[in-house]
Amino acid sequence: MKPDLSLDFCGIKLKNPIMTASGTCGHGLELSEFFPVEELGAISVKGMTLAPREGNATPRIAETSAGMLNSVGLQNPGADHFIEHELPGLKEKGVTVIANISGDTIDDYAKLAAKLDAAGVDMIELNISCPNVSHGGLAFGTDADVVYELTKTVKSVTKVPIIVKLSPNVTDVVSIAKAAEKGGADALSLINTLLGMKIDIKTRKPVLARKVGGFSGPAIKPVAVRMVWQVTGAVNIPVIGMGGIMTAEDVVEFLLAGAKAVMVGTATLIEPDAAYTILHDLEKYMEENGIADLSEFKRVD
Amino acid sequence: MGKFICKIVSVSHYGDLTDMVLENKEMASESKKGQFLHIACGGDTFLRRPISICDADAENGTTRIIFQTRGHGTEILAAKKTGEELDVLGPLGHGFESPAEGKVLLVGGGIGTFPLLMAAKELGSRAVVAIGYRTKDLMYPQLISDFEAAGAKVCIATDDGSYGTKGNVVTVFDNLIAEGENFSAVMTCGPMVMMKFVAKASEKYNIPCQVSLEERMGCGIGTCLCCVADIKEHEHSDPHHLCVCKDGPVFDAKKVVFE
Repeated sequence: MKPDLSLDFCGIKLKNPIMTASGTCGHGLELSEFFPVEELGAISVKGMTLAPREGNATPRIAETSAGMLNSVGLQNPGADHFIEHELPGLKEKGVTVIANISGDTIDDYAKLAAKLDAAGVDMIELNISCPNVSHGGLAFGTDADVVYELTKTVKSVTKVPIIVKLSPNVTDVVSIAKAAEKGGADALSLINTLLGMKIDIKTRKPVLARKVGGFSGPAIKPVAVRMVWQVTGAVNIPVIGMGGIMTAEDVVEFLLAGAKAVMVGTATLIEPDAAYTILHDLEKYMEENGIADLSEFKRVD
Repeated sequence: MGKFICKIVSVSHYGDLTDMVLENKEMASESKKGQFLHIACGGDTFLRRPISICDADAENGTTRIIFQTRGHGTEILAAKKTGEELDVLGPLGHGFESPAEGKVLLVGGGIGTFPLLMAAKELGSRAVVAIGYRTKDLMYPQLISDFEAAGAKVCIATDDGSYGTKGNVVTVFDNLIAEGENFSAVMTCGPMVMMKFVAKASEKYNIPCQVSLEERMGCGIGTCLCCVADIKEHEHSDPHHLCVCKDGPVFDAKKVVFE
């Protein structure tokens, strides 16, 4: 019998727990040349801000052992552009859309969230953990009181589920997770990239123009699994796990760490259809192992 | 565009260059001049490596690449043997566009010369190729013969005068114009500073110029936004960050911010 991969996520019926991570899939439609994007659980589109942003200088990317660094810096054409040009195409295909947003102030987040809620996105993910911008981003994600205020404010102006995306660049991720839950977050997603750096020993200069950047890829998976496991042990809202997922087995590991869904990120930069391949491999894995549905993946103690 | 498994049908080496022919009918038939392949090099590399298409033969189903060993990825790729298979995403990007008529000046600098061969083959006797090297030891004789076999007139410049014209490709460009040559387009690929001066000379002679840019790349399909360049929508508008992989690698020189 075919396993059932569907799930109820914050009241939304998802086909399966496989999503793409923001920043690795463009606005989603770019990937439809490679696979039917609407067959994924959801797509978290490229992070957006109120005004368009040009992002950082190049080089913006560097390869590392089993991973990479990026410092794109939230380049995006602005939320209005997304609503006008990309969202209709995604809706038409029947994609479950997660709008990933960033602001410099709590007010920015509230304005963005209200706008996107009204425009008809399915969920909103608050990026409070971008390591590649000077203002906002990470600064929001490292202070529990700010996370509480921000989440509460955004919740007061929206109806769709709010996901708070957490940074691993904190001493105690659980306290931030609890602050988001207390603020009314419907779900959490973690981890964003780890702050990293690469130096070219020949030129004796940092490889990235911005010197430091976000570290992602399979190298960070153990950190991500640990943080997801810690957070799911401390909160009662669903968690989307991510960080270095390359295979269906990696997905199973995150589900066993307590995640209800996962996001595939960096893998898409190497194989555009990575999330789709992983989805089919997960289905096969469940079938081969006699797993009927996702409820059989219980968080390990 | 798609993901293809290609068989390596020939590999040869010249100094630090690798000249490789890949076989895949669909990929070869889709390949256009100025586009590139995003190749999984294997070993302990993580990201793919973008390599320009040198030539493609739809009839034989082959695509040729020539690359210099510059880092870990190209080192692993250079060690591949005939008969091995490569995992390739491509052909990617927006390539060169030929004018309907008139002669075309193809200007290459060093390893930037390779992506111009396919254009030369299409243009035949309409192509004039100007190639610049620091010194004659860096010339790849096979490629020069390939340009000549395509029917192109080949002009070589070396910085030290060890071969051809002493000077650079702009010296060659100026000489060709002085000799009465007319060009309806210029296509160039090479170091940024060289392309800047080729673009300036093209502007001076009022010839449309297309430049092929290079940037450290992630996905190759415009989703990660890592490989951006400053590109103006119109000649006089403010530049924006566009993707070299998807919007380029070939851009109208007038829209490129070279500094």
